[in-house]
Amino acid sequence: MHIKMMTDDHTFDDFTHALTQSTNLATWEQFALAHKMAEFSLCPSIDSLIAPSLLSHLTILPHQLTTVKKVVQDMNGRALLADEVGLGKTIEAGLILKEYLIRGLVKKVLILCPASLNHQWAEELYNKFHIRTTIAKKNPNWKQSKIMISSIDLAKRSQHQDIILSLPYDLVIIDEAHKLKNNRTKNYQFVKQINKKYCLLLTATPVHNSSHDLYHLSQLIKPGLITKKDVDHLANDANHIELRPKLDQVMTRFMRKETSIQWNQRFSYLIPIELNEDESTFYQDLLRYLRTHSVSFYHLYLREWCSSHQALYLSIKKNQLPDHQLILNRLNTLNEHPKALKLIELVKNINHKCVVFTEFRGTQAYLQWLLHQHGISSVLYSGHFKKGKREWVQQLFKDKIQVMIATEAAGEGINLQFCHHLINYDLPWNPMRVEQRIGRIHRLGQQQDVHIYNFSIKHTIEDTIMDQLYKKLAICKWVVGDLDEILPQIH
Amino acid sequence: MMNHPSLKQLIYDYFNLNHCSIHTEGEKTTVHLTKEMDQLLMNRPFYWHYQDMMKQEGIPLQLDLSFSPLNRTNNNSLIQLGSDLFMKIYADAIEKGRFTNLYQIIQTDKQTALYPWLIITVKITYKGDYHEENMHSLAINLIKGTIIDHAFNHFSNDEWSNQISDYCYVLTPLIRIENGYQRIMKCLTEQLSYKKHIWARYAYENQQKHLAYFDSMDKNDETELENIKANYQPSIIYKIVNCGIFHCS
Repeated sequence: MHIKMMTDDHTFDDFTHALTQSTNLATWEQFALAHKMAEFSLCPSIDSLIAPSLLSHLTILPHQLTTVKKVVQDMNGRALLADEVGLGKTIEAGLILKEYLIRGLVKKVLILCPASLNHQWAEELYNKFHIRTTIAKKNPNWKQSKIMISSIDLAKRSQHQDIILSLPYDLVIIDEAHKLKNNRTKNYQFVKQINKKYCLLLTATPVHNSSHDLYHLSQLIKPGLITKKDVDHLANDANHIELRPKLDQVMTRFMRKETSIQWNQRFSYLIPIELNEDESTFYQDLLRYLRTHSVSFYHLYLREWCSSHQALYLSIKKNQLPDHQLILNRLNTLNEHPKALKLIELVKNINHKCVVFTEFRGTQAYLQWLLHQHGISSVLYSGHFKKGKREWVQQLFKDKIQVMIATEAAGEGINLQFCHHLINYDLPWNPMRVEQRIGRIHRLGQQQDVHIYNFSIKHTIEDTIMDQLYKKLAICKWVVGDLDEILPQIH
Repeated sequence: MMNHPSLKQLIYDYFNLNHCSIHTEGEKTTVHLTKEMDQLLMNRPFYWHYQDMMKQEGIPLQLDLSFSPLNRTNNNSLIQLGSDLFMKIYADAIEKGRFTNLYQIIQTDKQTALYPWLIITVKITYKGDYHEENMHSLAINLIKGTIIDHAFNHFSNDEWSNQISDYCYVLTPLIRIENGYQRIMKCLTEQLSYKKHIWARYAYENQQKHLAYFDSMDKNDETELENIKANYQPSIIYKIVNCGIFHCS
């Protein structure tokens, strides 16, 4: 073992120089003050954290403290922070950053998060941790800014990417890191290439479609620790037992039920919908049409029809499917969508605020119209909205409106804990995205039990999606532990 | 560390030393800055440039301090480890108190010899996957070669001036200052070598472990390899906080 020693002869040379010149010599009081200031600022062993004692205005929850300790003391600043949604991963990251800044172990920082969350990060770091940051805009000065917040999309543009990759970063924080699960994407390659000492990846959902997602994320943190073999057959118990301790060196994860917080319960319900004869025939005909024309991604069109006629209509028009006039004509003869009618019924029964998630923008508009026909107020929400508009819509929903109809892009970064009913009007293939949606209402600050309603049309593609969701949930369970109820238990 | 009265006292000392008056009212602390301090701390170069151009005196600001985040408002500045204002004050205090040459104040009417001592205060940082800092203050008698520990505390009991007192005279060092420095550093390093440094062994073991993982994977990524090495490399870093020659009887 070799301990590297570094001396400070340079300062002593300065001293002898000052002495011969009789310049810059301190009085006793100045000399003594420098000594006391230095003594005051000494960092104790890393076994005791400094940051929490400086943040008396902040309520730090026990699980957050445990996580910060583990990352700083045992994981050497490289970790996947994977607490369930709503447990305060940003707080954990902020605490870790603060601790490293105070200790002088970190000076140059890059924070990558979706553009829609840039301001939220900046505000939180300043208000809660007194850390000043810069948000990357048109001409970001990557070299000068000590703590820069940017979206990945901006940072990876070639003119910026070249500069970023030439700089050594002490800490890189990546929010919504599940977007890096695929190692073939540009995002992944970019992040992998960044020269970084410490690295925090934040995601509530480290496994989306397969356990390989986790494998790729872990390579960014501790390369080589988890091998492909480890994750290949996760359903196999033996592998599972081997993986656990390795996972523990890469990831920190708390579940709601493990925290000291009194969480409200989560109930989920499956709402099956039957098609009438006309609709059923149309579905079969649509399926036949898509197959005979060997339309690629034909699942998408089926899902769109299961969502709303409008979604399918827009999509067929846009993609100019062959011989589509007949289909469109028949589409026009159909009555109101059975799922939408079910929604109206449910919303009336709930008689409280609810968030409705749909995958399709066509459906968003249709549902708003239909709700309006039944005298129910609603707002639309989408992640593309600018910061001001997003806040305004959220406020509107909170104060005046009964229903918010959101698209997938709204699954991240908004907090709607004042509402406790969530309707998955249509479901994505990926259970983690469902979890992200639910996290919008089931988070710190929710006063009520949370109710989740999952719509699914019988004997259609939606049945298949539901099957897939249950299967994937089983894999997630191996890796990240039990998820709180996303879908109702089947027996 | 981290107890407020002592930080408050340090900050009061700092402003007093820099000729700023301080007013306290309950929890509220207001500092009346001098022009020099305003220019140093308040970051308004344009104001002062403008005043200079107009050949005006300019009015220095008053600064409200808060010593706890609980009392922080938009109108006061937080003084705490790592806060912007504290960092500025810290850097300035360290810079102004780095080097000195002092004489013990002695009331006497007899010829009195003063022995030259070289005092060095070193901050030592232990780094690996571990981190800790501590401080050592050593002094060497440049005539006899005696080395003492806790030198700062030792000398704090006496009174010091930049001018030599009447009837006192200084003895010429027999040991060159550079040589004194070497001896102090050697002594410090010897002290450290008696310790076990378990932290360093752990850091080294972790380094080897992670290099082995890395080796099984991607050998081409030089940057990442260097980062893993550096992240775990056990190292001890000396940083001189301040040093001076003290002449005492």
